[in-house]
Amino acid sequence: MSDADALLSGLWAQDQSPAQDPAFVIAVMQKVELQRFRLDMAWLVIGCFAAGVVFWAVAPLIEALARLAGPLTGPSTIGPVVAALAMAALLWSWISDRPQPAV
Amino acid sequence: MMSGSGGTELDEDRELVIQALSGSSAAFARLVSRHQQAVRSFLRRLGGPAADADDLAQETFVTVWRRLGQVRADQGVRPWLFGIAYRKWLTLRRSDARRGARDAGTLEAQAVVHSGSDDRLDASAALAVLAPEERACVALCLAAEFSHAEAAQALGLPLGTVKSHVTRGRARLLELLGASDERR
Repeated sequence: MSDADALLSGLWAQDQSPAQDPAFVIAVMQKVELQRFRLDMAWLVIGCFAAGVVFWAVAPLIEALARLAGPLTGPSTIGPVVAALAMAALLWSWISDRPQPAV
Repeated sequence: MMSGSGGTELDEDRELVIQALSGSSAAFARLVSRHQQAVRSFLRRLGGPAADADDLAQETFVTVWRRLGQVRADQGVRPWLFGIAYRKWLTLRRSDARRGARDAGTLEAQAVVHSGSDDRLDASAALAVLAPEERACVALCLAAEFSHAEAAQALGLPLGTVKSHVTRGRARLLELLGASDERR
């Protein structure tokens, strides 16, 4: 290594960041997980809205089926059950996509 | 100091990208840990306070996470990652300029050049006398041990331009430091 190279190496060493910096990695991962959470929430809201539209569109069909099924499964019973099932499916899809602990 | 881009390291980077793409936060954290030193040092050398450089480095890694799917298999992670960091720095610099902020780095460098008595010259102050592209080429090829081809890929510049920026930048830096370059 020439004197010039040694001089430049010394210069670069002054601005060198630490080789290991867990605090920096954690700060980055916090931002990443926040972004991931926001994306998940956005998809969850979109999914809920889409499911609501679908159920609104097929509500007459469900009511007709419920009437055919008899008094025990009337519209007042099947509505909350379908809503609860849809919510459970959405929650399950969200929970199953949760990331692993990073550090 | 950042290690060279050997085949094993490239393979490990690719493996980590694949795992991160499949949702592994641990793999992405490992990728950040592997490259944080080089990216932060690069941004510090480009100019500005260390805290700003670290904020920019964090933003760089968040952008990397969002765009992980865009890594090209033939390109490697390192040049792509530094390209994002460089473009973020350029954007910040332009927005500072639009706000009418004075270029503190240039002023600092001018002070160093004119005083001639500061023996604790730091790299960012010394590099601030160079043009931004020249600064980036020198910071990558001389400090971060990038090949000229890798630097050209990262900065989106022709290979010949990178080579001439590195040669001129090195000569100017040595002139500033009062050293002679035996390689010339």
